[in-house]
Amino acid sequence: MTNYLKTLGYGFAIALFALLAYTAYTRFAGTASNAGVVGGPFTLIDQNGRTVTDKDFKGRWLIVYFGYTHCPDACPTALNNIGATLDQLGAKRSRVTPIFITIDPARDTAATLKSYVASFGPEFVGLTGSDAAITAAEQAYHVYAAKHPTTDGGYDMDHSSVLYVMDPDGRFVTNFADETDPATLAERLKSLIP
Amino acid sequence: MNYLTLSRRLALIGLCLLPTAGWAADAVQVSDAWTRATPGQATSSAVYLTIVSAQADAVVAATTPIAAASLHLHQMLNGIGQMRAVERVAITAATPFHFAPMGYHIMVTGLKAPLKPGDHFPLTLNFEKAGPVTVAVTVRPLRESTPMTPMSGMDAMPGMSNMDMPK
Repeated sequence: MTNYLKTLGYGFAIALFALLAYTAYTRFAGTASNAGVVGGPFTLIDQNGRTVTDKDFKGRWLIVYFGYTHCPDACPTALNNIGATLDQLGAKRSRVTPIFITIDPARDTAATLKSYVASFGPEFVGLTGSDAAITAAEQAYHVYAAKHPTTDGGYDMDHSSVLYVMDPDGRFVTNFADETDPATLAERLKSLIP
Repeated sequence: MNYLTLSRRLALIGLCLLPTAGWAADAVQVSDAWTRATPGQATSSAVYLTIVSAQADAVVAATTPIAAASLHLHQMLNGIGQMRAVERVAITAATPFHFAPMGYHIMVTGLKAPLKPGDHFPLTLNFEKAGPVTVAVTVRPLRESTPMTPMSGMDAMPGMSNMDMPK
């Protein structure tokens, strides 16, 4: 009887351990595989009204940021940080293209984006597109974006505010918090770009 | 005789009032009010400033003749940035409180003209106890307008524990 209980106890412990190990493994594996699929194909419209795809940026290091032009705080802060980072890249600056993808295509037309992104630096690209194309880009980059109505009848956007670094083959390399200071960003980029 | 007495009385009253006026002016100090030049056709901006109040107080409203203004908090929750209007921003006595990028800001919306570097405009903060305080907001160039200011607010902001000073 005692032996039977012992065996049952051991069996239960082993089963529990196996379950925990499996959960941990699938979680870890999930994270690892997700990291590999940030980014991907997109077809959008640039600030000059031209249709562009991810292939147009092959060969270039990208800093990709999703935001919207009615955003007064986080987006200009992040774009300013990107601009200041480029200023510190020296010769490697010419290999980097900063891309601002709107999460608010209803208000951010190509014309709106053109003067907006130019304010942060000459090499900035602004991308907009149909709702479906923007949603696809958001999903590819695991970006969350949702309208939040304001009392004046307008809306703000809640959104993931992250800088993504993509390599010349369009593969995700790393990401940074939007408020990362330019010196840190520049240091990391310089070490990443050969 | 009567005239002299009156003038003396006025002088006395004035002398009494002076320090009071001085104290009232010093009760709340709002400094370093700035915003960014607006990029492109943007019609909204965020005003940042520093408040030092001798007494515990709260900002309950902001107004400016050039646009609609409201108190806002930007916060990150699990990597999602959210902007929310807030009705009241509590100010601790004798402790600098920073409205700063990626935290508390005064959101101005519906600007009728772009904000250009070097421009100034008035902004009035309404304090619960100290009443209205008007400051001149300086418009800084877009690309030089992110100074290393302390993080917005003080230390006990809900949900902002992940927003440390840049390292």
